[in-house]
Amino acid sequence: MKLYVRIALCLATGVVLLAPLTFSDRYANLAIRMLVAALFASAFNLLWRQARLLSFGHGVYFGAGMFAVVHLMRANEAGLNVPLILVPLAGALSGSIIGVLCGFVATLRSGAYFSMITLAIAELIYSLGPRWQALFGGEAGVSSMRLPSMGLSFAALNEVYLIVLGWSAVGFATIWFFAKTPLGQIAFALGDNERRLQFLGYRTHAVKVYLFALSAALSGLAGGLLGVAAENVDYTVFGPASSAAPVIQTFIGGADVLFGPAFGAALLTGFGNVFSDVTRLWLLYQGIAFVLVVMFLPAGIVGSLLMGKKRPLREAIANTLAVLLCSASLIFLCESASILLSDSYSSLRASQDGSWVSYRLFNMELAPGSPIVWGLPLIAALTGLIISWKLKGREETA
Amino acid sequence: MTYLLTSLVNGLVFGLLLFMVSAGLTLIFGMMGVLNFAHSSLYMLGAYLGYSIGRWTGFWTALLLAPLAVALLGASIERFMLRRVHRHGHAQELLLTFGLALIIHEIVKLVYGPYPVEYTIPTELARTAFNVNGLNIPLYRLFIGAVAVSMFVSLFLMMKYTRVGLIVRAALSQPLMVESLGHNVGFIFLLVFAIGAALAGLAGAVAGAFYPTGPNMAEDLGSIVFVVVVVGGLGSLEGALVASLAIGLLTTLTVGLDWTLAGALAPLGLSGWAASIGGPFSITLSSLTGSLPFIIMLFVLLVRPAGLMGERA
Amino acid sequence: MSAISLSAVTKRFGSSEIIRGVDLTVNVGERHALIGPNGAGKSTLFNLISGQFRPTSGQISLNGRRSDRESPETIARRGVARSFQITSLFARLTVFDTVRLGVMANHGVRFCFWRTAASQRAVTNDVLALLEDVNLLHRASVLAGELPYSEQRALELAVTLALRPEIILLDEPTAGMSVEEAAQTVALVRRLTAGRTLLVVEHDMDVVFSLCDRISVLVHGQIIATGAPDEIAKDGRVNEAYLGKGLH
Ligand SMILES: Nc1ncnc2c1ncn2[C@@H]1O[C@H](COP(=O)(O)OP(=O)(O)OP(=O)(O)O)[C@@H](O)[C@H]1O
Ligand SMILES: [Mg+2]
Repeated sequence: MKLYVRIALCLATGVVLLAPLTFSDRYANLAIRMLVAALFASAFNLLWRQARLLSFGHGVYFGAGMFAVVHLMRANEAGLNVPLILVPLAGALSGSIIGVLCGFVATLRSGAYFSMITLAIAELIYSLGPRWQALFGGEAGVSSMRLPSMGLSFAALNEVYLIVLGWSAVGFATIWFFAKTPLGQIAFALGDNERRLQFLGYRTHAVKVYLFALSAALSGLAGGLLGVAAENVDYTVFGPASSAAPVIQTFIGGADVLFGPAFGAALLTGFGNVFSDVTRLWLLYQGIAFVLVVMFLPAGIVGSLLMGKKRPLREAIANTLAVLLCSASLIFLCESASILLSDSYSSLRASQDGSWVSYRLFNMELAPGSPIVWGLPLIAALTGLIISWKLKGREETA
Repeated sequence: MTYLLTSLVNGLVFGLLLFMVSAGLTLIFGMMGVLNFAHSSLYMLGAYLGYSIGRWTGFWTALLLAPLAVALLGASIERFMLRRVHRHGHAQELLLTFGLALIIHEIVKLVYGPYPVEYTIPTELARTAFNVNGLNIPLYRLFIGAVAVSMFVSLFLMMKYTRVGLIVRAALSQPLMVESLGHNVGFIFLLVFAIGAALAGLAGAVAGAFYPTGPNMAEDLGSIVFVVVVVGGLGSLEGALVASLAIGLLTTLTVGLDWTLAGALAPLGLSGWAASIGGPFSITLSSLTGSLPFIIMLFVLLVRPAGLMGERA
Repeated sequence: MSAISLSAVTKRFGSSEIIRGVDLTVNVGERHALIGPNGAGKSTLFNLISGQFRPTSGQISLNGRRSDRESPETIARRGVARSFQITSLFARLTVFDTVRLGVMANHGVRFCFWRTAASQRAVTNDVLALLEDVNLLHRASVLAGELPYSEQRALELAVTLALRPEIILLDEPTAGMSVEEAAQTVALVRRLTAGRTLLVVEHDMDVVFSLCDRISVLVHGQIIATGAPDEIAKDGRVNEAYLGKGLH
């Protein structure tokens, strides 16, 4: 890359990362959540990218970090005087402790067994959550307040963003550096061929426990950062959704590229924030996107962009068009279905003698009986499919 | 005594239900190396389809059609999706089924709403089977048990006496060997996946009428079924049966026990101290019922990593 | 004290007994060949010695210490290194990184996460020297998975030797190589195993006879003869059971 391109890129990144310092609470909060998700997904991916271990229970270590930090902030309220900037470290610490314990058991096995065990550990903690009132605060959870520290009030979230940015930078640097250390190299080799590594005299179980602990510590750090920002937490953080998030984000972003998971996490958190206000079906779209990426872009978005072969501009445009057509009609059909199957629509129908009354979608008045309403999206989807099919045929002949 | 008897029957039936779902999972896992995350979603679909179809055709026809529909879905998943990502390895297959589980969960919520539907037992089975000491055993529980047992028997016979069984068994011990048999392996995979899906669908259609049929039933059962597979051992039907029954019995037998760790320390004179600490010491065993399967799994893993019936490496 | 000693070792897989009572002694500093027809159990014997499998019965000792209950890691740390008949490498690592794994193990660098692997001068120098030895220096930055077969074999050998082991087990080190490559490899093995104990499985009789001090013949899970090369060449049972007319 040319030098001035690099400088421009660095400057742009710097501006994007520092901009939230000027944001209002709503957007500073979004920026914090994006950074936290990015760090969490990258921490999760330490296990997969290096050692090919796929954890389905990382919400536990994230949650451990959140709880540790919120409890520490409560202790601060009670008079303990830990500067706020050091508070997230409690998250990393508790993440690593729980990580060593759980990691020791989980890494006794590899492959699908490892995934099942991590999932089961998460379920175990999740099922204990509501029972242990003192620690997890039951249904209501645990709350605290940020106290002013080091001359800053930390009342507004853009000040908190500074802490989040700083610690995330430390976290990302750790992940980047770790890959270059001897242990990082060994972990990499372990993902390829554990047996052979054993015959070189390496204790692979210990390697896996170390790696798991590091991954859990950084997940805990991410959770801790969110804890500082959110000031409260309840046991649902251990639920399946928090463990699924880094998996989805990582593989959509690109698991074998260093910053693929971070990209995927920031992207999906951003989109999720925007779209979950607009539609109830955001999780459905996210699931569909995930399955499509797994099937057609196994290297993820960033991975495909970096490694993918260059296409002529015309093909790239045609491809984008095909994707747009298909997703537009899919979204239209899903949203329509969501309205037509809702309780409110059926009670509306009942009040109109069971006739298929029209419904509103995207500022349009649509009649469920009209062939155009269903025909148009179907034609659009078919066109998209035909275009991509033709493109594929051309690729194969080329 | 009465309590023990009810618990035994309930536990046995719950265990058999677990077995119905885990049998398909372990069959697919053992043969294809694919951990099907969507398996319990197929179980849930079986229940919902049983409910929907049943509204048109009545319970018994639905009991036949729902598993067939789920089998068809399973076959298409194998043929059009799993086969595509097969060359990228088992992890990619696992991720795919994980994504499918998410999608099915959302679609079920979209179509049927967030609350359980009223999938009920047919009137001819809504009776008491017999009465012991003033205690009623519902006929439907026996029906669930009977379905599970006949499933185990037919699977067992199929594995033992037919060609499919021969190949599946060979695949359990020598997957590469069977792969090298050539062209028919693809079809066998399709068949195994479809059969596994049908078993899950049947389990759902039968159990959904008795237990609540809601969008969380897949998640609730899914992780317990994983526990069964881990505890039972890779690809072992017998292991799955033993583990299912053990977990089913243990979870129901502990429902009524209010033992605590603090109570257990009483003989040492420490119960007061332990109760004052609270937390894990004062959790009753009955409230741990949901956690018990996972605790059992961790224990088995530490003692016997290959599972109860798994081959030792 | 002998470097490797097996007494009455058997190994069963299910109902078939693959190793059927093997007694074998390899002296310290000796180059010992293990020959025998395909499927005789040679690789299985390697797997038993290196800790991949546990013997069904019998005892194995390495340098006088009982080893048949130990894990592969422990045995490797006692100075025993092995290569694999079917190349077993790390697909995502470069040639350089692969050899470095072996060298790091030899230098005792394992759970180090506070400095980069590249900053260790002594390790890097050893890696470069070893790559030079096996003629892979110009391939240092190629991924192991992308090497042609014969170079993978050379890399397999390099990782094994990087451990600077006292006892070296090589399973068909020259299989699949051209005549010149094989000759180079043999010369390399001869040089790098000087003063160490070598147990090698090899099908090429020229290599066996020129490289080794003693030979053991394994047929159908049993050792039918052990001795110096000329004794083995003369042994009637060996000729009958295995060598046939292939021997000059
Ligand atoms: N893990 C195993 N399970 C079952 N059988 C095995 C196993 N490993 C080896 N065998 C069997 O043991 C026998 C001996 O195999 P082995 O690889 O030791 O032979 P070999 O002497 O190395 O042959 P070659 O010269 O072909 O390398 C073979 O029949 C093989 O099928
Ligand atoms: Mg061999």
